[in-house]
Amino acid sequence: MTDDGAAVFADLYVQLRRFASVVRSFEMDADDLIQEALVRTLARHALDELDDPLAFLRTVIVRLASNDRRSAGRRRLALGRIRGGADDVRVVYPSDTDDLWQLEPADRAAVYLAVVERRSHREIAGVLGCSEEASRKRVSRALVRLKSDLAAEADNG
Amino acid sequence: MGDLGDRLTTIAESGTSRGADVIWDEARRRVRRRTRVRALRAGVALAAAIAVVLAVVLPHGSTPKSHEPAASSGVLALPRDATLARADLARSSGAGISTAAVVANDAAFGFDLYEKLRATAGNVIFSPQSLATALAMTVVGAHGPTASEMLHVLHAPDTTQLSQQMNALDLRLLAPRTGTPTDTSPSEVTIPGVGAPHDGSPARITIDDSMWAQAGYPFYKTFLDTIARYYGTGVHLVDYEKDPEAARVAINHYVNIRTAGQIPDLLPVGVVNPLTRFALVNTLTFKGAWKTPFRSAGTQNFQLLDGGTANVAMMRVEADATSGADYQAVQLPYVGGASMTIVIPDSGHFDDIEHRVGETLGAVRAAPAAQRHEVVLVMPKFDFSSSAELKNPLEALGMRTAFSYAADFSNMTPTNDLTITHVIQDAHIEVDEKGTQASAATAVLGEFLSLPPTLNVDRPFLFTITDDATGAVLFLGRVTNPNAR
Repeated sequence: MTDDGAAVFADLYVQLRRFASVVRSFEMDADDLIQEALVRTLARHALDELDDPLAFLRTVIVRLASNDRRSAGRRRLALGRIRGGADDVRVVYPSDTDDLWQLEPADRAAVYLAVVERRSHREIAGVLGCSEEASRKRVSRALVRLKSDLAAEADNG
Repeated sequence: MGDLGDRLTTIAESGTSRGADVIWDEARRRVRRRTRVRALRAGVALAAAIAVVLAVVLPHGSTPKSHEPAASSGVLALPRDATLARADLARSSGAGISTAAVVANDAAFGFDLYEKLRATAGNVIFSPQSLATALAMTVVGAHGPTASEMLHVLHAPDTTQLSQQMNALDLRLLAPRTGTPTDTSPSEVTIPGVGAPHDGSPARITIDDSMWAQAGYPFYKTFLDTIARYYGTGVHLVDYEKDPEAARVAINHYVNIRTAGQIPDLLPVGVVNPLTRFALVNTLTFKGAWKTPFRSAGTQNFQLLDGGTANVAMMRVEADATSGADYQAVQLPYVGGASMTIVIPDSGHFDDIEHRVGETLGAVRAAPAAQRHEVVLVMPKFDFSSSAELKNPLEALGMRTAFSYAADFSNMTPTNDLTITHVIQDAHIEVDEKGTQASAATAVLGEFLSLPPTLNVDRPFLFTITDDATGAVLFLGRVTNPNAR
């Protein structure tokens, strides 16, 4: 780790924070997610040695968020079994952005990169660790799901 | 789509940022802790594996006769039951390495440091060469900003060149000298405090480097190889953890012997503690007879800087002097190719000349013979010691990271959990009619990074609760008795 690494991170931080804020689970703090990704990365690489540190850190962030979501799901199931399946312990905060929180972290990452940052599918595929075609399908499916959620909200409303 | 973009942007910009600096520092701290824990786990696993292998291989009741230190991935766990571990490498001859650059760099470093030390009251003596050597050994184990700051302070280009040049310079300084005094003097005179009689033989310089490390602590073999190859030293093994006082006494005893008793107590009580992990020590001694010995000149008043006077013992000799705008100077040769340069600032110009001591000494040494004129020099004999903690002056010169929690000695040890806590130098000089005896010893002490100091709130205090983003003071109060309800 060098000062160059610190400077690289400082340059990337704003972009990383916006990305992590979208990809994180609802209960997770974006800075905690970035810090965890940074620790995992620095344990093996110096930032200034990476070809594309922004993409690398974003990949780690997506994976950490996905793992956290899976762990949270397992916890909910375990708690459900303990309570006899009677209570759903998941806390849902209805809001304008609630439909987005229902998406998988990788879907949110894909949509954010495509819609807000207007990245190409090649770049999105690089972050998600998949093919360009898979990236296209992921973005498309996520948008369809968001539209159906919006429609359902409108019907309920 | 525009609505979705707005909602994503709302999420992206939600929450309060802790800031890149805070996250980076915490991540670095966590990585270092993980590295340390992994190294400890690896060490335990390695020790267990070695124990199993030894139990299988060695006949029952036998013990190994020589130490085969546990080595893995270039790491050497220093043995616990030996007194010295040394790489099986001969010291580099230094042949073909130019020393001009390192001589100039060491001098520049010395003048930089003198500028920081000159505020000290009273007489001052220190050895830039001894300090530079001790720091050069230390920088071999440093990395990143820790190394670059140290190299900058030492005016050195890079660690490898520094070690090679320092080795070549040390070996040239150590080479035997020849010469005879121009005026034979009584040969049985003994310089005060020194055992050997001062017989007008050529000047002699001794330099010794040593490392004193915690037994059992892991060091990189490349670091140990470098200090063996370029500083001619192995590692003396001590147990700072269990008996720091014994380690301190051992180092002081070693220095005392290397300086012919002139520096008996380099490390004061308290600087070595159970967290100490290494001490890199350099000793440098000089003993020289004047090429033209002085003669006693009785006593005379010496004007002090504060305007007072002191009656001091003087000596006289014929010498060649040179003059500047606001000083006079003489060069006094020793037998065997060394000399003392004395600069005498004109009245009221001491501060000014002291401020540009490097420039002045350069001008004096470069003065052509035609500008020199013969004088009868009458000067005081002197004999004093100086002891300095050089941490603050070195920090002031820019060597900050090495003394901080961010210190990076990852080229020395895989645990990378060391910081420098002290840089101590003791120096002693005796100048009389026959010649000069001077000694210096420098120790760089490295400690295991401990927890930050405790701030104990055991007295009344004030407090506020503030919103960080806006700075709004939400609450303001004081506590004079935490038990009061």
